[in-house]
Amino acid sequence: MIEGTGFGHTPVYPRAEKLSWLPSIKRAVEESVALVMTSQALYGRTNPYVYRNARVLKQAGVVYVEDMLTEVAYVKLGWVLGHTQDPKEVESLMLTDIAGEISSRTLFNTYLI
Amino acid sequence: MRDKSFYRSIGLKCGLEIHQRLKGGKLFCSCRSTLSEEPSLEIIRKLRAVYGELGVVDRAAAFEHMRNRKFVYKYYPSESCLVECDEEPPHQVNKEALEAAITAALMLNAKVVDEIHVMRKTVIDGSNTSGFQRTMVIALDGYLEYKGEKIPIAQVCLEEEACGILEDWGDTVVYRLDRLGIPLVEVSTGLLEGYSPEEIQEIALLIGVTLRSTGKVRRGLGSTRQDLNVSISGGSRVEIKGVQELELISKVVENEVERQLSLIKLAKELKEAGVREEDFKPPMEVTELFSETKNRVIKRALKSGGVVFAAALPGLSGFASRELCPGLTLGKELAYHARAYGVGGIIHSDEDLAKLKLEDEFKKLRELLKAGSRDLIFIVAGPPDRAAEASRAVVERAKQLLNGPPEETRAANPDGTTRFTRPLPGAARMYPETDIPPMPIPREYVESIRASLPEHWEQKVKRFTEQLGLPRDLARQVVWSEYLSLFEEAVEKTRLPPTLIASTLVSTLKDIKRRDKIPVEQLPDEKIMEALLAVDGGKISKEALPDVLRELAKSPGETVQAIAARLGIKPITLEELREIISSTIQDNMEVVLEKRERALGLIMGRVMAKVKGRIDGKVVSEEVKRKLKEVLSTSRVEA
Repeated sequence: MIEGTGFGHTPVYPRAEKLSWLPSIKRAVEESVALVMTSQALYGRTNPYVYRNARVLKQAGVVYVEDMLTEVAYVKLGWVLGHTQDPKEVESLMLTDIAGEISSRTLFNTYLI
Repeated sequence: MRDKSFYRSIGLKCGLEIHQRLKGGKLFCSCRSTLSEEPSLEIIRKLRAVYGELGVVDRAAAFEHMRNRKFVYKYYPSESCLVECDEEPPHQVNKEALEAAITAALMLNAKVVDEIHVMRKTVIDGSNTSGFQRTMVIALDGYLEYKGEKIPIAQVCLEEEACGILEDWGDTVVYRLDRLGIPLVEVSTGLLEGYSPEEIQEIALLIGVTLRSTGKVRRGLGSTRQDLNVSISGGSRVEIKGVQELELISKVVENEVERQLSLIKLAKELKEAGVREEDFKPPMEVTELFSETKNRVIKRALKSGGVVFAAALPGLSGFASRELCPGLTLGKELAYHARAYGVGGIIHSDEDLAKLKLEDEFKKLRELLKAGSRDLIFIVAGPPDRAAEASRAVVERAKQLLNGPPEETRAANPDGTTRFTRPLPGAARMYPETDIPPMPIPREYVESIRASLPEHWEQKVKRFTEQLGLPRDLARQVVWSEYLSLFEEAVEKTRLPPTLIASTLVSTLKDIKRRDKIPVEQLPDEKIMEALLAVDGGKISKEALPDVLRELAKSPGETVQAIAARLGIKPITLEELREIISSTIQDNMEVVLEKRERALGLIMGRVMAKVKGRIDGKVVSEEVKRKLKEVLSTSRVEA
């Protein structure tokens, strides 16, 4: 589980390899470790398309799980891995709303108290 | 009446852009798009022009910034989310809408692109919260057959609908967010040359029918919208936006041809009269001159801190009342240019100045501006920056009169005339949407859609005639109507005769609209279906259907059952009918005995008055005949 910044980012700066998380992430994916991205932000939805670094992460195999909370995603990933180890199936299950953990729409007043 | 050869001789060229809303949810999020809800919140915003990536502020954006308008967005809880508010990036493209657009493209014989790139088209009037409209090319280079010729279809796009406008108070505009993001398919024809305005309208209709035959488009007010490009030899390309009714297209084209011809003629006249561009002087502020004015409009403008600008337009005196095309004078045309800058319009010297109580001021103005008797003088009153810009725009437009019609964007009025909105935008207003990656379109996917394309409309007419037994005219009417997919659904879901369904959809509804002036097109398909199912289930009789539909159109919130109860057209059973017939005959026994079989008409009439709309008329007639015979045979025995 990675709790990224903003839309779900980690450092991936291509020329400062020491600071980039990308080599480690690629190695993890190669070794069949499921990688799931949520956000440190309290509210909102992850998005792998707006900024380049997130596109790179998604391409490397990180699964962006919409607006799922980190804690929920952690428990869900444990449950999913108990059923399958196949990366495609893990991704598809993580992105299937099972019990209201993913909402397809974020309403304007979702975050109003 | 101008014929086809006339339009050929003046080199009429047209391009059509047909916009058609698609069924299903929004294009870039999961909101529904039913437009049926009440707003729950509003969001207030202002636009601020900023430097673009090239280091300049866009002129149009700066103009909008200067107008300093307030935008109010009404928020609908089931029909808008953070995507419409531009608080969340767009989600992936709605697959259902994409498939519908590809289906439409294939029916227009167009070639589907290998990769779809979503683009942003700058829109700065606040109707898109993001400041742009998203659009994507789906297919290119198609054609449609019309009178044995191939009409070129240049492009098929899928794009998002803008916000609907609820109110415009000049400095504040109120928009509805629920409309934003509804998927639209946009079909652009290639250049149509050598056709008359009527033919161009027919081509638009043909495209509309082809789109509807996909079964994936919406109907109702605002669900289709046409833009036209019109030019003639010696004229210019003018884009006319927002023709809401297909039936208006030929009139709009005729008017535009007329307008351009008049402008070409006017340019010639002005040149022959020796008017030159350098004779046009910039407007000057003349507020002082109006400090004692008796004109109410100007008095009000000055009171709220406004100013007056004026200028002379050389050689144009007497021309302002000239009609460029029916319903559009040159004066009105110039006023549109002022209005685009947010002032009410202009007052010019060809108007009845005595009536406007401005005679003295204009006399002084003529001296002040050193204008001759052949010059037209005009004034603009309004807030300082707007009045200055507006008067300058009028002078610029007048100057262009020397060169014939300019390229511009106009908007269609409901009466078929048009009004100036802005100069034609450049190609630079389109740039890539960076929040959505390019989407490759696999060939197998396109071929799978091609393999199950809906019927061509001509085949549908044939099938409806041969298999459903519709008269040919009715079949064609249904296929060409907005209710095609509802008709097909109703034929499938009910056991009602197809002819009844068809005539209900194409003529009963039209009658209700025409006779009772009820906006029946707003009645959703589901409600019409509900009424048809009620007839099918015997809950109301088919005779009651027009009354029920009329009431439904008035209050679509009600159920068919409630309306039937309210109208007292609860259907009656055969037993109840027989009782009514017996008692009616009883009540009129003398006449029955006297007239015998000839009393049928009278009894029938009396019974119908009681049961009309509550049971099939054919059943009533059979029962009355049967009962009458029975009564008469027994009475004969008695006699």
